[in-house]
Amino acid sequence: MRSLALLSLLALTACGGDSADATDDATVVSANYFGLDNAYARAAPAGGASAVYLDVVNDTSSDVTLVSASTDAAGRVEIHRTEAGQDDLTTMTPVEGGLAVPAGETVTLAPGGLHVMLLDLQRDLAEGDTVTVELQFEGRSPLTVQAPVRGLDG
Amino acid sequence: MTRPLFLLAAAVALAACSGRPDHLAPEDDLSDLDVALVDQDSAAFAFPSDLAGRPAYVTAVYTNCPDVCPMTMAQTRKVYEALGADTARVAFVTFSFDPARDTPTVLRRYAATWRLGPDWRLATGDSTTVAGLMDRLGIRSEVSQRDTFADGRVYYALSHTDKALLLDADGRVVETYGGSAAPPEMVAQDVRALLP
Repeated sequence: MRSLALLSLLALTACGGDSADATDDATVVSANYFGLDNAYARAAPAGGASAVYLDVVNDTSSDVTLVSASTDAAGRVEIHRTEAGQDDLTTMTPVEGGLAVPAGETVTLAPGGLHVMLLDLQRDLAEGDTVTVELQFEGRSPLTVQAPVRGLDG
Repeated sequence: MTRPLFLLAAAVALAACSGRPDHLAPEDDLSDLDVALVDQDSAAFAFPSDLAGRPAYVTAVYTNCPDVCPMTMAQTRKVYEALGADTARVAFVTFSFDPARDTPTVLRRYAATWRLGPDWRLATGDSTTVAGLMDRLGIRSEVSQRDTFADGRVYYALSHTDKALLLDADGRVVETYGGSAAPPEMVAQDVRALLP
């Protein structure tokens, strides 16, 4: 009976509170998981531009806002959305006011849509490399992700 | 055989021998163009004459594009792979509509990053020539964002048409697709329909 009570206490402790896993391939997901999954970057030469794509998973009970991102691989980092604009032109627009990640939802940044835009690349991003990107959130600690660089086949 | 039946039989035979689907009928004849460009190796590239009588899959990007243009490159690679051995009979050309920044040196680094083979040419030229060609191909671009980096360099992003064109061996546009979303197997099927 005492062992059962102890086990129950351990289970309750493990399930309580927010958890923010700062890994790009979280394998342990708690009920209050908040993290970054499936991250990758596009290959690009130094001086050019690239993008980082990922899932922002918010399995907590609170809405979260992604406000900015940074990396030493680029001189400028912005959150953008690709859209089909007027007159048959495809355009990228900065996400103003931050990117909302509602409670209980996953927001996917993927090609042709939302993306973390890397400008003024400070080095070549070659297939097989890794880019370290920090994402800053309103009211939460930032999360860092190691994004593998993919080429055209990735 | 009666005359009407004979004519009908002849028409059916001609249709069968032409081998080209109706949707690949010529839409625009570019064979009258003689556009002087340079490729990623700074070699002269005359469009469309340097396509040398092959069907061509033509796309357009700018190398400072972080999202859509890499998608276009990825989809074009998939078309390339879907064609398999037939790739040798097809020309792959990607133009830059940002000649101010996309010099041959920049295009060469871009090609190296994407590990493009020598049979996939990236081409640029002087701004007037490129603007005229893009206009003829129906590919528009305009500055959508302009910014200044900390060291004073000016950056700009471009909104642009997302388009790929398929040309037959006579330099005629026979089909267009969304460059970043062109279904590779469908495009490969269309290309094969143009091969002798």
